[in-house]
Amino acid sequence: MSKEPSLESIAQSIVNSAKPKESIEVIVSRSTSTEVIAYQGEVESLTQATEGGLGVRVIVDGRVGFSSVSSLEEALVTRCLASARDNTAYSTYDPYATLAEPDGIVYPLMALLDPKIPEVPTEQKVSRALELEKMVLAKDKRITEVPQAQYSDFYGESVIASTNGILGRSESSYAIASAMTVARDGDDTHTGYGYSVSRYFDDVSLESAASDAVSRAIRLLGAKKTTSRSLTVVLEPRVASTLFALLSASLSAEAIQRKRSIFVGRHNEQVASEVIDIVDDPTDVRFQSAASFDAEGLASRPTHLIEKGILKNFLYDSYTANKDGIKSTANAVRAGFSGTPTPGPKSIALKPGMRSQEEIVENIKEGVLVQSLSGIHSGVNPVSGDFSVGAEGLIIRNGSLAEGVKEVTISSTLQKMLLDVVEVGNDTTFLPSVAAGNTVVIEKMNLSGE
Amino acid sequence: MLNKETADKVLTHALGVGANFAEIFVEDSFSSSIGLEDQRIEGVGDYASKGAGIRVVYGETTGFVHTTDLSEKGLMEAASTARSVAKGSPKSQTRVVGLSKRYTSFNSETVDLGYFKQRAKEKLTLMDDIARTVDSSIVQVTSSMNIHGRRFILANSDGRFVDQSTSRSRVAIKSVARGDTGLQTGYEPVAYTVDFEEFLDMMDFEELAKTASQRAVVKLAAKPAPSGTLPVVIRKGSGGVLFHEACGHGLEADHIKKNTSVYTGRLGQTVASPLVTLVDDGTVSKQWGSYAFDDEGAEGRYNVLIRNGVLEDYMWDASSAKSYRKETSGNGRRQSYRHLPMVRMTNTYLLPGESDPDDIVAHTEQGVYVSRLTGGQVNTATGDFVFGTQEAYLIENGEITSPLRDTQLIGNGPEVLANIDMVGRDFDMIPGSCGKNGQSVPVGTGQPTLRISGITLGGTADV
Repeated sequence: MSKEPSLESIAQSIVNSAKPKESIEVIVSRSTSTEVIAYQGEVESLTQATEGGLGVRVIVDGRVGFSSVSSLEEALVTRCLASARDNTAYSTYDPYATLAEPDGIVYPLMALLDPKIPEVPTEQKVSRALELEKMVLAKDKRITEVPQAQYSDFYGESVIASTNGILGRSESSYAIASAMTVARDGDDTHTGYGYSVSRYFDDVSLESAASDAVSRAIRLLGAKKTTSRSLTVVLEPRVASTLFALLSASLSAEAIQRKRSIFVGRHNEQVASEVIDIVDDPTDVRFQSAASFDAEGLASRPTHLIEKGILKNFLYDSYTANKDGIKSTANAVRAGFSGTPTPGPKSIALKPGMRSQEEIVENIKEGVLVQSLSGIHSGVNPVSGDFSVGAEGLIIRNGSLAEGVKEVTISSTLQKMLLDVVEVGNDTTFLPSVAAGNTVVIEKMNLSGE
Repeated sequence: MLNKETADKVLTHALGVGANFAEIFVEDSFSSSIGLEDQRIEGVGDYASKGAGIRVVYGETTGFVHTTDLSEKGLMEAASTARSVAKGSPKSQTRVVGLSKRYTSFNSETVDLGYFKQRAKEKLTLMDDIARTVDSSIVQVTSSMNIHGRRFILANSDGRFVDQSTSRSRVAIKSVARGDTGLQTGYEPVAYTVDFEEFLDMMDFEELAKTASQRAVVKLAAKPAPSGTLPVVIRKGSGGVLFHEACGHGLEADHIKKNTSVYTGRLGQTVASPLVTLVDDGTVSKQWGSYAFDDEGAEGRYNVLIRNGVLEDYMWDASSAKSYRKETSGNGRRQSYRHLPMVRMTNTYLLPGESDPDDIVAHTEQGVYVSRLTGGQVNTATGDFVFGTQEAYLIENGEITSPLRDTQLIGNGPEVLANIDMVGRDFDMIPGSCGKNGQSVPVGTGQPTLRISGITLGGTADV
């Protein structure tokens, strides 16, 4: 690419073009990325890209318009701004429409970038993918296929600016090594996926990615359907993370105001068992999603959502906060520059309990340790709370892990599951998700099999 | 966007160090959307994207670079990086000869987005009014409409040159009803590969709004679904996604090549009940998964995958076809210029059979009637899948009785195919979106009313 203007200058020139009565917010990003896929000792593909884009939100007399473009070419940027302006004409007047107002809270200083990532020679990244494939295959004879061993990284910068005086710059990076695996034993086949991720190049561990990918494929070889019954369900941290990411989306003020959540009208009520404490804290750098400000440019801060099972707060952006006559909790999120801000979870963690997964399992007479869920998006209704998803894992019998089960569903309702949580493990695990995970025990759920 | 002279030059450069194949894919696309919620027009937004992907293949290795710099210099630089995977000696010059077929070309700068938004606003408002009058239990209605235009020019070192433009239009409405059992939703999406003007002609927006609300209202009376293994009758059109997920993915040649499909090595064998003939068809007029050319420049085709229960062929893109010395079946697709093409489905459907759809229910003593499935998930290596039901009823003594709450079907692709014991003579298709390795493409799915003799339901009724 030829010489490019800074993101700040692109953002400022758009903000400065605001006409009287116009409020403008712009987010502009640029990134480079590399992806290497290895297969059978060869590089299957090497993808390299530098990309940029921008999104513009314009508000005139309470009418909102948005437009985005995945290029920073001047002509396209100009057209994007014009179309955001045009779009205000079609929106209904909304008295609460607003851009974020700076609230005096300063951006926490956070190191979220590894400057090494763009400097590492491509050959070194390529060898990581090749090396990972070898390590996976060497670990266990039952691994018969590694359909994909991958190394990818990302290095990006982003600037947000608005006519309200918001101006923030963020930089972030990540690197991930991952492998897909197929394990076979006789007629039995099982697949796995494992990874190691960090924002630092050197912290990615091929060894742990390989072990993860292998153990997830082999541990359920021989798993079978089981008979339908009602039993105690223990969720692994990765599974609990998926569940709590989904649940916390229902804590967004938008879901509440639009009556699309099981938490509607339940503020200050007991919505979960007493062992449940949930906080959203994007200032915690252990989250991959940590950031010093939210998608509208307000400083990140912790928000206590559920305390001892009592629903204390929701996740707000500026618009939903304006509607409720309060201040934003700085929980605006957006899908990159091409999305508009909405309130949502960013860095959700449960308060850890006292015991390890092992200690927890030892005390369960009959249950199932769930290691993966499938169909979570079709099987969970966030409005009614109906929950019925495919599950795989190990049966727990008299305090020990026993045979594997697959092709079963577990079902309940989200409301009941939250109240039925009897214990949270001490094993907080940070994952590339908006929610960290812990071992979580649900006293009773229906399991359907044969 | 890309002329043949530049294409020649860039391809020649890309092949420079002995690569076997090179391709330039230049894409100009836009989308525009408008939504209605809380009886207010909102979410008015546009998205534009313009860029190129350059692919260089050397042996089994693909080098891929994408860029937004469409100048000759930008493309040459991208080609230099992409070809860094090749390690051979220089090759003679290429020539782009070209198909030069052009399909309904448009220019994204001249599409009248204002007209779209004005008309869409009227239609969404109309649907909202109608959806709310269906029943007093309707408490919320959300709807949205969007259009998408995409033009690509593809030039490759095999001498292919394709310039194709495609328009897509979509509408969706969701009604929420409140009753004693809580909130229930009814959701209806409709989408076709047509421009907005034609879409307006094809659509009955009022009917769509009514259907969404009625679906939500019916579900208020729903009782918990049974759990365990039962016969399941799937209404025409509503369950095509089951075949897309539970066997379509396993018939994609990249999974065959990597031995991650239960259908590997099974060509010519019986893999389904003799009542099953499954096709993937990119040529169905106006359907959501249709196209004239795939994203590698190959023509879209009608491909029989399973005929009378016997596995006849897989689906192929250029790369997998090459490994097996086959021809591509026109199934090479990519989400955008930023993505590498891979084997993808188009419109996948089961051909109709001979049974009267009413007889299928009448012959089912005890079971479940599914009139709408939602998305699902499949493990191609094992064939195991799960699907959600969005509208389902009990069948008791050969009759459809009470509605059931949302539940999951869980099973195994090959087993379900073998267990299809009645296939109706009716047929319908619906649009969907298919995700694979992080790429999403529009697809169609379809099927006649049919019965599966046994499938596991994950209901919450007391065991």
